[in-house]
Amino acid sequence: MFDFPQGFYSDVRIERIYRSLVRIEMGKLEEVKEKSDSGAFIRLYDGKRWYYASTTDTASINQELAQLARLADKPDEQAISRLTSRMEKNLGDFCRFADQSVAKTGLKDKISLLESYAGLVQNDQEITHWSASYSDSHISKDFYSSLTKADTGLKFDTQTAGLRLGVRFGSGANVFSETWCKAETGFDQLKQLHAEAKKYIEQARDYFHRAESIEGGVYTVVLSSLAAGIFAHESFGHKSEADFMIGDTAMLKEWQLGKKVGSEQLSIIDDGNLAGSGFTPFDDEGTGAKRTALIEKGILSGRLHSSITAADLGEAVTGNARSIGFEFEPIVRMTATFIEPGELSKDELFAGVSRGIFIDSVKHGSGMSTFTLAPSMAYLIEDGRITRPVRFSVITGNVMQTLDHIDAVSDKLEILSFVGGGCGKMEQFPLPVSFGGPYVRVRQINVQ
Amino acid sequence: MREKIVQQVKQTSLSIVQNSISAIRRKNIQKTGCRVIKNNKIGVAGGLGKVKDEELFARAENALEYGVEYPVEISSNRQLQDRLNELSLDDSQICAAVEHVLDELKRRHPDFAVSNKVNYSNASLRLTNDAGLSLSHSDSYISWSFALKSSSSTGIMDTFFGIVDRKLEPEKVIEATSAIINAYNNKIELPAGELPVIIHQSALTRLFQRDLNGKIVGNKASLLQQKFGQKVFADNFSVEIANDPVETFSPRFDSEGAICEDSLRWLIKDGVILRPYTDKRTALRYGFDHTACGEGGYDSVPSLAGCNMEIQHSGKTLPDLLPEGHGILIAIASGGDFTPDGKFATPVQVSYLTDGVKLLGRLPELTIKGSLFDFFGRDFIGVSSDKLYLSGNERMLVTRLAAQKL
Repeated sequence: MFDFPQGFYSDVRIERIYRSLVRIEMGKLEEVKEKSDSGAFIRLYDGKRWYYASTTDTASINQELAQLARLADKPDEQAISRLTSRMEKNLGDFCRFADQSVAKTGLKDKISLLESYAGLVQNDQEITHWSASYSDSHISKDFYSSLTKADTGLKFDTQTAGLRLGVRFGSGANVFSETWCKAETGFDQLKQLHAEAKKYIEQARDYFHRAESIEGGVYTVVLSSLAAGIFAHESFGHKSEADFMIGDTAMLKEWQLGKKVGSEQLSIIDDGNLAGSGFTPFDDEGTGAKRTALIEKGILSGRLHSSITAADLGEAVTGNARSIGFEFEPIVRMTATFIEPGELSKDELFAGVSRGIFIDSVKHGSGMSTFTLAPSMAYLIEDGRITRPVRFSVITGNVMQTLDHIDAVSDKLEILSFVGGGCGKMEQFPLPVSFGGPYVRVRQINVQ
Repeated sequence: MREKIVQQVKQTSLSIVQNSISAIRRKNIQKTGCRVIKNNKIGVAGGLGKVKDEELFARAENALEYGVEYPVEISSNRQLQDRLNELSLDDSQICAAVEHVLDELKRRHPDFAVSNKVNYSNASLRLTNDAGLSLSHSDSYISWSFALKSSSSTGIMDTFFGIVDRKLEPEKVIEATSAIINAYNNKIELPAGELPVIIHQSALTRLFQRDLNGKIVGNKASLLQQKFGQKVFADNFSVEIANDPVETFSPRFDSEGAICEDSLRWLIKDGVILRPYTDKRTALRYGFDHTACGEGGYDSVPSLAGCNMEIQHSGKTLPDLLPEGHGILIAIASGGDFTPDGKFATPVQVSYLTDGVKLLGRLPELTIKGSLFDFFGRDFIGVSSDKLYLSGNERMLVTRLAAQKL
C-alpha cells in the first residue's frame, strides 16, 4: 500500500506495457522487436496545483509521493473536496485481455502473418514502393488513490493488434500512395483480412489509373465512415474537450449546452466502451468509460472532462482523462468518436445527389474555425451513382456552417481502428483513438 | 559485435492554464538499447530504468534468429563528446521565471490568455560499441510553447509563440510574445500587389523528405527521379544535411554512430540535385553515397525515415531579402499538402505583415499556393542569415507564392 500524504489528493498509476513490431519493406524484413516495460505516474493535488512525477523505479513510489508533498503548498481542503467529490472510486480487476494477450503470440507467428499480407503486393510491377508492418500492444494499468486507500486498487487493460500496408503506384509526377490499415483487439482477428486488403489495393490501383482532376466549386459531398469520423474528431471533437474552456467565459458562452449547433440529422458521440483502438474502459484517473453525447439532434449536449475540468465547470466526469503513457499526465482526450447513424440506406442517401463528390479515404484533416479534409480517394457522384474517380486538393468550410449543412446520414455505423499513429494534443502524441460514422451527406461544401 | 545506446531525459514541465501554472511535472527516465550484429544480421532489445546489460544483450542475441539483415560496416574507432548542457536551472528558478513572464503578459494584455507548456530538459545520448566507438551528446534547453487566445475568441487558440533556447531569457520571451499579441490585435488588409512569403523552411522542404529519401529514389518512385545531376532549382538554392547539434538540438551522429562527411552533405547544390539521403543499409542496397541519416528509437533497428536538412542561408538578413520592404510571415498554416507533381497549397489561418524586424499587423485568412519547381526555382529569394526570434528563432525562408484572401 502506498503512503498517500495526509490532506492532499494523490494517486498512483502503474503501467505494464508489452509492445511488438514487425516491419517488411520491399520484400526485406527490416525490423523485428518486442519489449516489456513498466513505470509509474504519480500525482498530488494541493487544491491549487497538480504535482506530477514519472518513474521507472516502481519501488520508489512512496519516496516520490513524499517528494511531491514537499513541493506542494499547504492543502486547501475545500478546493480538494471540489475535485474529489466528482471522482469515481472504482475498485476491482477488470482486465479482459490477459488470457489472449498478444504477448503470448510468438514473433515468428507475427512475422508469418505479416509475410502473408506482404505477398499481396510483392512482385506487383505497378507498385514502385511498398511497406508492411504488424504492431501490437497490451497495456495493463493498476490505479490507486488516496480516496480509496484499498490495497487491491483498480486494474484494467487495453489491447490492440494491427496491420498497415502502404503502397505507391507510379513514379515521377504520376504517383499515387495509399495505405490500408486495420486494427483489432487480438492477433487472431487479423488472420482473415487478406481479401479486404486485396480489394483495397485494387481500388487504389484503379484510382491511380483512372482518377482525373475536377474543377473546384461548391458541391454536395458524401463522406465515408472514415471521412465522417475524421471530420467529427478533428473539426468538432477537439472543441468539446473541456480543458480548452477553463476560465474562458467567451468559450463557455459559445459552447453553452442546449445551444443549436448543427442540423437535426447530426448527433456526435464519444464512447470509450467501444472495442477498438479507442477502447478506454477506465481513464487514467480511474473513471469508468461513459457514452457522452456531444451533439444530440443538432443540440450541443455534452463535453469531455477530466476530474479537474468537471470540477471547474460544475459538471460530471466523463472518463476522458487520458495520457499517452506513464511519462505523462492525463489530459482531456477523445476515445471512440463517431457520428450516429440515421435511417436512410446508403443507396437512398446517394440517390439524393444529382452531382456531387464522394470522399472515400482521407490523407489528413484539420479544423480550427475552418476545417479542411484532404482526400486520398474521391469519386464523382452523378444522378445518385458513383461514376468515376476524381482528384482535387481539399474540401474546406466553416466548421459550424458545415455542421448545419449535414442533411442526411445513412443507417449503418462503422467504427474504424488504427495502429501506427493516433491523436496528437500539445506534447502528447500518439494517443490511440478510433472514430467513424455512417455515410454522411453535406450540402454546399467548397471543393478546391 | 555489440552496441549499446543509453538515452536519458530529465525534465521539469510546467503546464499553463490562463496565465497560471496549473501543474509541475518532474521526470527522470533512462532508456537502454542493445544491439548484437553477427553474420550480417542484427538483433535488438531495449529496456527502461535500471536494466542489466547482459540480459538485454542476451535478448538481442536471441533476436538474431529472426534474420533481419544488416550487412553493413559498423562504425568504429571514433570518440566524440558534444556537451551543450550549460543551462542549469532548479525548479524554483524555472517557476519564478515562468510566473514572471505570465504575470507581465497578463499585465500588458489582460484580454489575452496564455496557455500550454514550458519544459526544461536535460537530454543525453550515448552510443558505444565493441569496435572502439564512443559517442555522446548532452544538451539542456528550455522550450516555451504558448497558445495565445483573445478573451473574446471562441476558438481553441488564436495564435502561438514557441521557441527552444539554451538561455533563460524571460524578458525576450515577454517582448516577443507581446509583439505577437499586439500584431494579432492590429487587423490589416492584404496589401495590393505581390509580396514575398516568409515561412519556416520545413513547411516547404518536406517534399524533399519523401522524394530525396534513398529508399524512394532507389525504388525509382521519386518525383525527382529523372532529375539527379540536373539543374532544377535556382542558382542560389542549395540544401544540406544539418547535423550541427547547436542548430538542430540533436546529436551530430546518427543512430548508426555515423557522421556525414563534409563532401557528401549537399543533397542539392547551386540548384543541381546531387544525391538522396541514406542510412547504411539503403546506401549499400542501392549503391548511393552514405550520408549518415540513420534514425530509429533507442531499441530499434537503425533505419531510414527522414533527415535533418536545411537550405543554405543567403548571407543576407531578413530585411535585405524583402525587396518591397515587406513580406507575409506565415504563423499558422494547417491543412495543406503537396500534390504528387510538386504543387503545394495550404490555408493560412494566421499570418502577419512584417518588415523583417517587426510584426506590423495581422492579415486576413489566406490561401498560399505554388509549385516546388517555382518557389525553389525562379521565385526563390533566399534564406535569412539572421534568425527571427518572433518565429521560433529560426532562419526564415523567403520566396514567392500566390497569396489570396480566403
